[in-house]
Amino acid sequence: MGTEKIYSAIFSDDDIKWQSIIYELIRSKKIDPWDIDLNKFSQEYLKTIENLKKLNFRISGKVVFAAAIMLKIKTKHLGLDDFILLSDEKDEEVLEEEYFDDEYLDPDEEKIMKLSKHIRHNTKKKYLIKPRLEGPRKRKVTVVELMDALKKAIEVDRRREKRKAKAKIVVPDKIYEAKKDLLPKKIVEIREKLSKLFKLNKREKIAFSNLLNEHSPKERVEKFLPILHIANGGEIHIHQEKPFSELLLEVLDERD
Amino acid sequence: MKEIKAKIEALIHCKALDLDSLSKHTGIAKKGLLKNLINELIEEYKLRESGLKIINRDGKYKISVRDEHVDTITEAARPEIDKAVLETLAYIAHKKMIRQADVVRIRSNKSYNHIKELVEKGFIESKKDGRSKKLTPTRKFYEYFKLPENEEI
Repeated sequence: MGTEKIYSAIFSDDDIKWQSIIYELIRSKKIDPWDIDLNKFSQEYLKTIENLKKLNFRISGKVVFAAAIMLKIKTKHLGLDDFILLSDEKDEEVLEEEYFDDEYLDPDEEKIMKLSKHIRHNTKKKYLIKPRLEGPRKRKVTVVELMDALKKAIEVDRRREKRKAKAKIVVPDKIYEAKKDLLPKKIVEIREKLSKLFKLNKREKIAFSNLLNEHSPKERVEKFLPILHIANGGEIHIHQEKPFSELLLEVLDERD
Repeated sequence: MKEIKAKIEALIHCKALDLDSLSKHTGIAKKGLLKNLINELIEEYKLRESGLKIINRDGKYKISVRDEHVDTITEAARPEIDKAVLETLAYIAHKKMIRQADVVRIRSNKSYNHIKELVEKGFIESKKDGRSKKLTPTRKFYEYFKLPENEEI
């Protein structure tokens, strides 16, 4: 957003203008127009807003921005100009004056312009301070520092690689491994049981539930796994009429 | 002339400035004159064997500490490049050419800002490479650290 746009947003008409709040605060002697305490100004503004029982964020934003402009005016005229002397940006004060010199000034804005001029005059006279001493200057980086930095960067890289390599080693699930060893035995058991049931059932299809004793989920899995292996070996055929319905097992070897 | 020279000295003590900015701040429109005055200042610094020198980096003049005194001021002054940024720069220079994605993978997400700063300062060059960027140290990097361009670091 350009500065001009910001200014026009601030000064555009609202039901309650931010200027009118300032005037009211001045009239009720809550703030001194010749020496505006920005902290007090903001607090008094918030109180006024509360009293209005209407929280208009559009006005709040404008007042905050207005406070920022006033802070900048004060800063500049407290003799701190030197700090902004070398700024590449266009001088805010110049922009501000450009705005105030604009032909679209309404009477309220003219009052604000006069007010800001007084603030400048008074603060400069009253609180003129010397710019503080410059902070420590920056220096050139040496090759030794570059090498130290590289050492550290490589160290970090190595540590990261180590951590990554460590994470890659998959610790085998011992329980799973132990159960895997038991699988061939289970397959033999289930195959024998299936064979018996098939003979008893007069070569009809056998329901998977006939293999179960406890009907627990653990038992279902333990017995279903060998069934899958047997079916994969082409010894049986698994059939299900509807999803989630009973599994029917057909022994192919016996029939052939 | 003495006064203008003093103004130039004060200005380039604060910040690296090119002739345009110096002209703006001193009110001297003739850039040739400004350049002559800067050259005079450079000679004066040399003659009195000052601990400072005037450098011209990319057309910007700045008062800097003489190389032989850099070790002396190590503790007193902050380095121009922050520690973490310097580590990223050292890593890129060590690899000579590296993809930005690899730098970020190794040096964390913060290195996006480091890379941005290093590109702005002209220490590394960033060229588009597919979905990532290829980063290489620039000539300025080798000049700054006084390293030969093909030096392995």
